[in-house]
Amino acid sequence: MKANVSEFYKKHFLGLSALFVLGNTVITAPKTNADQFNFLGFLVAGIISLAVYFLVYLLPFNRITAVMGCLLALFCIGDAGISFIRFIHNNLLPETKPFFIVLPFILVLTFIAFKTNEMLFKFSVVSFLPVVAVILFFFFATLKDFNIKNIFIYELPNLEVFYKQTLPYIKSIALPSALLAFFSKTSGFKKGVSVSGFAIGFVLLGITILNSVLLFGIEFSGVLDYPYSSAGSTVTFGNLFTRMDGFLYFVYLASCIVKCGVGIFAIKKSRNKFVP
Amino acid sequence: MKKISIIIVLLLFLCGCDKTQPEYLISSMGFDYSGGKYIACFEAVVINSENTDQTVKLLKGEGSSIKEAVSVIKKKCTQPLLMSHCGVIAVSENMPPQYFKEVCDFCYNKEEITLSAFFIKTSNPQELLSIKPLSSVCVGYDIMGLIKQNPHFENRFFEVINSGYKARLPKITQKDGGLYFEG
Repeated sequence: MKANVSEFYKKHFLGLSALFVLGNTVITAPKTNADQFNFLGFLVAGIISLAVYFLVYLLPFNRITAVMGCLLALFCIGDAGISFIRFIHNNLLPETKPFFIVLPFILVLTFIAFKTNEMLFKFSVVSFLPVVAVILFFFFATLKDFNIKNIFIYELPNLEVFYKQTLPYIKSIALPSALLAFFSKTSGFKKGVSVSGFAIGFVLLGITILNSVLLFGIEFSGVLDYPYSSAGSTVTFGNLFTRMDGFLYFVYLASCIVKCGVGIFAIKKSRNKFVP
Repeated sequence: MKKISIIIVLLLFLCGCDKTQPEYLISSMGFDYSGGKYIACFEAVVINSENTDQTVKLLKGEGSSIKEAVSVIKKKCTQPLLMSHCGVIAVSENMPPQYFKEVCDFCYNKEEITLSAFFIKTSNPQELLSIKPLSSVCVGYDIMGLIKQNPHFENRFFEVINSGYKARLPKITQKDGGLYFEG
């Protein structure tokens, strides 16, 4: 029965993995202190993330790994949740009391917690294509304003500089990839499905980072709180269609819900090791 | 599955605007510095879904800082100011560079103002924004149309910031009721 479920939800899990990778990084990268080697750091973090994924997937599912899974899940839920709430408070509803922003988010997570993971799979597969369409749309819509020199590297980085540019992506991609591996294994999905989804999500995330950097340059992108949202706001059609970045809020919402949802279901799976 | 699909599609439309009560949509802004005072003027289109007629108003404020000048404008309005659709920011050509940077910093800190807004210079922003629009509902959008026909300027907000606030801004003047590039 379990093998049938994982076979049936293969495409769903592919979408879930891609959205999970986007997570809360999609709108915040590149972060402060980003320099010309930032994208290089992103690529290296991707390789590290894959290594972490395969390593965690090999581990047996026992009480120790269940505790590790729980801790990782709490980290991912906290990171994505706080980031999303901060974004809503700073960007969309600055005059609303934080309690009224936190409450709906908590209610959504509680709703997810009381459902089966099939609901998250269905949400992922339905959101995935619109997210891809939105990311590609904004990339091509801002193409005419790109300055290709913004990604040129004129010298090789030293280790310290390289480490500083890779570290933010270790936290936002490599650590969560361990949780993805844990969830993938405990849900009965083969490595190939989630690795494919991870790769798609990684490419999409790379496109969003390039979108900001090619448009604004790396230094200005690093200064902005939400570079991708700012990049999206430069897309205009006529005089009144000037806030197209609203579509990017959907991308952020979907990817944060998926990241938190994976964390919640990973905790539920881990709980089974301790509660009969 | 159907319910989730419907919810997803509805979520895509969350970026829409609520126009059930009248709002002042700021289409363009003008800033000047003269006699030790900042002068801010906003061209506002009053929008209301219950009334299809659109009124354009020029709102002006003065103060010892840009924030104070804008506060004066806000106090004059009973409705909130919607700056998220501001397309043009006109600065006086005589404005010293340090004050121009202050204008940019003010606009940057106003998260609503997009980085795609066009910066222009003119001899008198208030005069420019008070002329009668020719082809659209407000002068700001006329200016945007003129700039888009001449795309060789790098005068969008993010381009101005990237240039270190030294971007060459197009000068727009009004003559015989029309708008022209000068120089």
